[in-house]
Amino acid sequence: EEREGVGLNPPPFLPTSVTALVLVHPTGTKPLSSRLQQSSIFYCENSALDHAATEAGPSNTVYEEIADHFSDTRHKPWPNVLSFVQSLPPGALLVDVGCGNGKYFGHNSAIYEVGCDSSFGLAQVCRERGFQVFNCNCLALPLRSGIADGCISIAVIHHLATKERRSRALREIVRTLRFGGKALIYVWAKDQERHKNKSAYLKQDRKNRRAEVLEGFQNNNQPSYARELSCVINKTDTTVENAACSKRTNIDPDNSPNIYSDNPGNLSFPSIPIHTNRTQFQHQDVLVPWKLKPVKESKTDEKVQTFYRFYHVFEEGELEQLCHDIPECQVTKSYYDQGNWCIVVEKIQVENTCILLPVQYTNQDYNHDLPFIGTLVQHKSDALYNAATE
Amino acid sequence: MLTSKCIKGAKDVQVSEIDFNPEFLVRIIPKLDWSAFYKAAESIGHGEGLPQTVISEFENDEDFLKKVHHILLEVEVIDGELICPESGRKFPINEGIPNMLLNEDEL
Repeated sequence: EEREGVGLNPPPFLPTSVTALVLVHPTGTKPLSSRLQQSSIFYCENSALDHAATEAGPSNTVYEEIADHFSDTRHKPWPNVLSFVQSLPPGALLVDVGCGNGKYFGHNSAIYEVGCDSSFGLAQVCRERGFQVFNCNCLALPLRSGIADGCISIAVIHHLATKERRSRALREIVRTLRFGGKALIYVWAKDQERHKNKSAYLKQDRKNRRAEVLEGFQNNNQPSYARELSCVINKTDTTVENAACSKRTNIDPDNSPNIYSDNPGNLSFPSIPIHTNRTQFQHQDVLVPWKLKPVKESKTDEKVQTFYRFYHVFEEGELEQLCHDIPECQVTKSYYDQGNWCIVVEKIQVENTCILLPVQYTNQDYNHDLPFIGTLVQHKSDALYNAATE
Repeated sequence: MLTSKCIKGAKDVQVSEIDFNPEFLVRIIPKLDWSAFYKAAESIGHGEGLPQTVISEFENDEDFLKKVHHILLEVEVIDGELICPESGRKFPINEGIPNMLLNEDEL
């Protein structure tokens, strides 16, 4: 049954494990119909979704074409990233956090490159191309502290749902760097048009979009990558995507249909607007539609599947601000590049380090070598966060 | 987290041919946790001829460099597992890709 939404103040945090959301039609106040709610409407920023999607999701068929806003960024390496990689000295160890299909590997034969990604499917693509890769979460890099001379993380941390997680991902990268080592971070900018220049993302239109083939995606592991990071909807209705406006709506949790029988507790569900592709972002937290079309050889009744990927798009200075809260992290360069905010950070020694053992902290026992300086407030908020999540 | 690794029961190990580049190796060797490297090589049956500790002045020892080159770059575990020596936790390796993803509640 469709119910009317009622105004609600969004909660101060997003539950960050598996978060169930009720999607709303961007132009209206009504939640999506129950037909969709019966399918697996899960939003999850990480691979736990893979399990959920496998239970209730679509059948495993081979998909070939990927939606359009993933076009050029999937295959053409950003030149500024390439020059960063090529600037690393011989014998350097480069870690690509969230390496995807490995497009930044193989451009500097004098360095040792290793990548990690949460997606097995994409890691397979890297392997097929001859690169070294492993699966892990960017919030917990299984790498020794101080081992990396260089690190890149391109279009990764904007998928993390909270500031605390985005900060943690940066801390992990900084931890992995040696002193003097450098990391290049790219995140999607909220402002897709700077100084009247539209980004490549905005400039795409229906005629210019090519059918994209993600190399190596020709196997039955699909669409695990999409499932890991997206909301899966068995959808034939395209009206959600074509909506012109992505106005945030609010939902009264007491009146919202309880979608899942294992819905934990009485968490109120924030609504996250669905972004209209190739338009300026109206909000910082959005779900970006991502269409997967079946290959021609498959059955003709194969539906277009739409996935919704979470993005937190960054305001100017926001990425730098995240870095300022990390003691050993110094921003050495900051710029805007084709719809992305970018920084280069260097790991530096900090004087007068003292370690304040927090009262309560997350399960990051392996981070004891990270100095905590004057961050009691942060620990307190972590403690609150953990209590609230439970 | 993991400070060393121990690969036991590797079901499939692949050996390929990579160009020998001594200058590259000389720079990489200091970054290795040698005892972990040695144990890993030994556990998959490729430890022969590898010294238990790094020899001094290895820059000019071509035999040594070639042994390191072989194990570091040419030998790969395709199917097997990594076992944390501290916790005993196992991380599978499939198709040459180690899976070191944590559980939801650990993040």
